[in-house]
Amino acid sequence: MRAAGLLLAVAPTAGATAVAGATYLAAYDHRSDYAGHMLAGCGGTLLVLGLLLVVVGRAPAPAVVGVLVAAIAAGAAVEATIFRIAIFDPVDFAHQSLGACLAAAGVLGRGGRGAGAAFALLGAVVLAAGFHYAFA
Amino acid sequence: MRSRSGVAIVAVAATLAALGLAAMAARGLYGVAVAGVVTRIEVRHEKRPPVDDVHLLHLDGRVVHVDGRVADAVRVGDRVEKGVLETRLRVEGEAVPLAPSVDLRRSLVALPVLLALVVALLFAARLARR
Repeated sequence: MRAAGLLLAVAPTAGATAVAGATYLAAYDHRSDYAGHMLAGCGGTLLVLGLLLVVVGRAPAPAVVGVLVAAIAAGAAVEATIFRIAIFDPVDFAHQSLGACLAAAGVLGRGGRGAGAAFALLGAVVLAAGFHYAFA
Repeated sequence: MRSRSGVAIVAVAATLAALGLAAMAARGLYGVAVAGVVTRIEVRHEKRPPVDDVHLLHLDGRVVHVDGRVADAVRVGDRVEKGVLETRLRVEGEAVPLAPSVDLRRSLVALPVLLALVVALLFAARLARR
């Protein structure tokens, strides 16, 4: 019963992420790396917000926005250093940051340690999918 | 506070979508003025060559990131010219029409869908609280 409640809590976010991923893969069928960037940004941010919920038990709205800003900044830093293969690409940066926005919208107003664990698990899966499509 | 945060998330997402579209448009030279002689056409490989190759035009010391099609339309030594609002690139005096890239055209569909999903998730959380 509790598991069903947790699934229900993360279902809108999981569904929206799946629709976003499918839209990207269909729209950019000539290059899956855009979907990879969007999913990686979404998954990484979901993972952090989920862990925040697990530790603190709730994620106040300013904290969610703060994590979003930090995730966008971290994404920019990673794109400018580790993943700066050719250039700093503002398009890749935009896609991964839009994924982070999707994650923040998916967690805002939702709380509880159990839901946090489910968000973190969903984030880990989406992050792995992001890496897969970024380098596939 | 939540609704203000929701508005902030939507505003950030809309700004990022605009940034992505502007960057893709600029690669097709939309809204970009260029004038000079091509001194080098540089291709840098990314994660998945040649799909995501980066094409850089070196114009008298200025470096412009362009679509592959734009890079293919010029050669080293060509004089190129284009005003900000023009939709043609003059290469050695000949007008080469510019067209939106596949990335740009498809982003005009994909990015609004993503923005709509962000808004839908915020509304879903609001409805769930009632």
